[in-house]
Amino acid sequence: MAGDGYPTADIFQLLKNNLTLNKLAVEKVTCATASFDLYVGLQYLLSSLGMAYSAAVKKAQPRIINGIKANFGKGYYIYVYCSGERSPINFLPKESVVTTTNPQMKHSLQRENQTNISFNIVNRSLMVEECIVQTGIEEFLNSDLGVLRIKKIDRISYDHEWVYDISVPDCENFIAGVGAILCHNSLDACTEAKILPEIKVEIKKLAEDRFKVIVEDNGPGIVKEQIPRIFAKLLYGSKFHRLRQSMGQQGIGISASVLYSQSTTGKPALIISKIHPKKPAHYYELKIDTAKNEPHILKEEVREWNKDHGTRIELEIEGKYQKGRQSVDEFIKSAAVVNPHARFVYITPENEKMVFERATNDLPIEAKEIMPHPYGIELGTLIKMLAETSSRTLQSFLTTEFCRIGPGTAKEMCGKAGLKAEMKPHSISHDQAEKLFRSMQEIKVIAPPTDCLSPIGSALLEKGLKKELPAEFYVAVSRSPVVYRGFPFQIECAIGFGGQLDKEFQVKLMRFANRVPLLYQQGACAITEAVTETNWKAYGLQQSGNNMPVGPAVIVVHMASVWVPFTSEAKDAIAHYDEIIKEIKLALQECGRKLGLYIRKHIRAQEHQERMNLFEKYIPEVASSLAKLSGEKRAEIEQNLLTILKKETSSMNNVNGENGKEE
Amino acid sequence: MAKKNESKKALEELGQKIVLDLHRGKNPEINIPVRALSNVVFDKKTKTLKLGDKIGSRSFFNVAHAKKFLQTVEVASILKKELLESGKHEHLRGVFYMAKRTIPGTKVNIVDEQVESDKIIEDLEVITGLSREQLHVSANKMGSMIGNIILEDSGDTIDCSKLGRGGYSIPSIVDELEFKKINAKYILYMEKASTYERLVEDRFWEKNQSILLTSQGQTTRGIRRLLQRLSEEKNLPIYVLVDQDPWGVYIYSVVKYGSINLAGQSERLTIPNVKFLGISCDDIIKYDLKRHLIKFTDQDIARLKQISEYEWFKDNKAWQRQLKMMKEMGGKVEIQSLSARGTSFISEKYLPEKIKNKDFLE
Repeated sequence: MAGDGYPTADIFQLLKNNLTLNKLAVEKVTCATASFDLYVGLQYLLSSLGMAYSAAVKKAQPRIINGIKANFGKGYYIYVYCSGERSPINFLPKESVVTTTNPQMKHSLQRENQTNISFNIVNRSLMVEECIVQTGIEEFLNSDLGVLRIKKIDRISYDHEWVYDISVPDCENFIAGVGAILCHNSLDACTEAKILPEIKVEIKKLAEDRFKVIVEDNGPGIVKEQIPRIFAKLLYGSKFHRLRQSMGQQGIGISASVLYSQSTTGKPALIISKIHPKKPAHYYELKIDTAKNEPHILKEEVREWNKDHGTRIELEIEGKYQKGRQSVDEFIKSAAVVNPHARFVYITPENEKMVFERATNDLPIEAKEIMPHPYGIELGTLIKMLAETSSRTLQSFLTTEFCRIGPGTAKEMCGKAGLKAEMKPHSISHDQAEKLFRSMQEIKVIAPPTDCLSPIGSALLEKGLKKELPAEFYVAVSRSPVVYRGFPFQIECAIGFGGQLDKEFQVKLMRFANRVPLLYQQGACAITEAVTETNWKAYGLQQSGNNMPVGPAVIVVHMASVWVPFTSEAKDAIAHYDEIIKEIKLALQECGRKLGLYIRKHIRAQEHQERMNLFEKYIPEVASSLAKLSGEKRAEIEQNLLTILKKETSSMNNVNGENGKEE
Repeated sequence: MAKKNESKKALEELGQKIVLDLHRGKNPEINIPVRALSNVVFDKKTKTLKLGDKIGSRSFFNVAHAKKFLQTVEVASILKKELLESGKHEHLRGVFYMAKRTIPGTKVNIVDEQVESDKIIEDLEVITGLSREQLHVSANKMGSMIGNIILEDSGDTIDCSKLGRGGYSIPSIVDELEFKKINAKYILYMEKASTYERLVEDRFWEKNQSILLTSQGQTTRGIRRLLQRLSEEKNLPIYVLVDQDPWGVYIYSVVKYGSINLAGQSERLTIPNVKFLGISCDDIIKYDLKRHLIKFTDQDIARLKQISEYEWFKDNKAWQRQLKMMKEMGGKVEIQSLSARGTSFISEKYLPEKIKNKDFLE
């Protein structure tokens, strides 16, 4: 493995005693090979083990060994660093650092031939403010750059237009749920595949309490092998540990829908999916084997489907069709507001076709996936992660499975918890895990990156609201992302006012989390609390106490986050965290101020005009009454009144003020 | 006839004043004495409520007033043109219908409910200083009278002792009634018609040489004016019998001192020497009625507080004691509860005893 064709004594010792590389007394081990495949494979292996290494290619050259001249062919070299920090990945280019008072760094900087400087030293110096770095370098220090561990490499034959996810071994859970859930995972699938989504929902009434639900998307489709498991196996999916803003999360929605259909009507789910125009569509009739939680395939065949790609599911269920606040109609309408890039077609049981057109052809920015942040993790999850990790050491576990932890921070965390950085994660006891957990919360770590969020954006949110709501004034605000307990989140808010909206009733509140409408449990939601605690009187709406404001308005609040703290698994309401409520209130106030401005300007002016018109209508009446009463001429009285009206119009506003009350 | 012209002239003057404002290019204004507790003065000398000198104004070019202004001139023109000029009388309800119509080009009615036109008529009364009756507007007949009294009404002679159980129905305008013959020692006025019926059946008026009068609830102007005339012209004592609760006390208060709303017309409506017969808090104890107490509602308690603070009760020690006792009892006792002691207990025992002992409150 090393040495010129022969493993060195060190390596032999290592192999004999079943030790790991980092137990070796040497700094690095060099592996040279003539095989390109081995060179590539070794790199994958090393990175999947969480080892630090660097690689180099050497040209063919003549060499003299022991006085014998030999022609060496092209060689591939890998240097494995036994102490993790030696890896070039942990070094910064020297010229980036400008000034320092840290003697260690000064020394490194002055040394000749030294082209880089340890990332750790810089980081440590930064923390105690011993050095000033050039602009840009801090960004690099704070960034997510690092080596991602490769868990498994499989060669697959794949000739489709889109690739779903190369980092996840199984496959994505990209369609799930009836009606509600089905839609948003379809949106997930389309966003991931960069397709402008078009979702069709059809509900057919078969009997008073029996319906057929058909949902069809134009998403990337599902590969044949995955169809049975996705639709007929509960909790199948890979989104569990994913920290990424997405609509579906648990892989429970669609299979639970299939289960519901099967237990209420006994009918199988009918699924057809196609991944490419040139590929055939696959049709399945599926049930869930509830004893084993495995798919039970009743029928499978290749079918013609006049569509480029997409998925369609048909379920027969028992249920009740209803209209109003908590209905499929409302859900789709709301989804259309916050997904302006999607087109929805909905055919109701009454055979009414509703089309919700797109407001934009731009897809939302794809949310990046991030590793959990040490501040946002719970002890139970940490224990589970420790047990499941493939990292060999605590240090590599911390640096690879969390964001914002570098080797130095990892060591510090271990040290504070009284643990060694070299310990095996699997050997950590419960007590030790608790100590580690505590030290993870105590040590200062930079906030997680916020590019894992995909906000709608104020302009698009406004457009979405405009196309679904007959108001006359619209305003939308998108706050900057903020971090709460290691979880980045972002609040967006919009208000539609006036027009055909109802004046007499409470304002309609539309709540969303990650672009999914929340229809139930309004009273239990943090959004509701933020709305009722905002003083809407200041913004021109009526409000009594801490109640929902009253007036012709609709308030939209959207929370985008990698982790939305729902009050329950049903994902109906957002839990009451002060930080979240505060941020929602700030968004509402920002919208409110603009609304207030508009109301004052336009509505007051309109009311004023209405009043003027009223005077004009009153004048003939007053004139004829006065004529009768006084015996004077009607026409003359009316003329006098009109003259005064013209004169008064200018000074009217003053008279209309608070002092207008009689007596 | 002279009276009618006087009324007509007063309304005409109102109109001409407004037209004059218009000629001068002024925002037309109607001045109305304020009819609220804040502008009611208790005249200690005459012991009646009188209107103070606070004056509110109602101008047309003010959104808050415009509609009321229109209502005022419209109703005034109706009274002048339709009633006074033709010499006819109209009911409050009738005036409402004469004024009620939609203003062309709007969805606005000049008046939507009768209370609006009723209020305007009250306004016109204080503006002109004339009574509703003088403006030819009448109200519902709500009272009856029975007893040894013979009177003349529009040329008909009526013997109020020979009218069966119904009695004489008191018209809303009583100024033209003429008292022919009276053989009674006092007048008993009661709030409850059912008590009145009880006493009629027992022929109380015959046995006790009295006149019985009732209304339903608040005393109408017709009754008040009739009582005042009987008191002043015939020198008959008047006793009031009401429930023991704040509302009963207020009925007595209105008859005696006048009302806040009609403070402007106290002179022709109040009867300063009227006496409160019952039911007093002392009666409750004396006649063992405490178990018939009906708990006060929050409204009752609020009203009780208001009444105890009225100027005309404030310095009256006997009344302060009553009101305090009432508050402590925390409930009301109706006249009818006397029936628990026997159907005719009221006519055979309670009333004769109270009148004989002069057990009154003033």
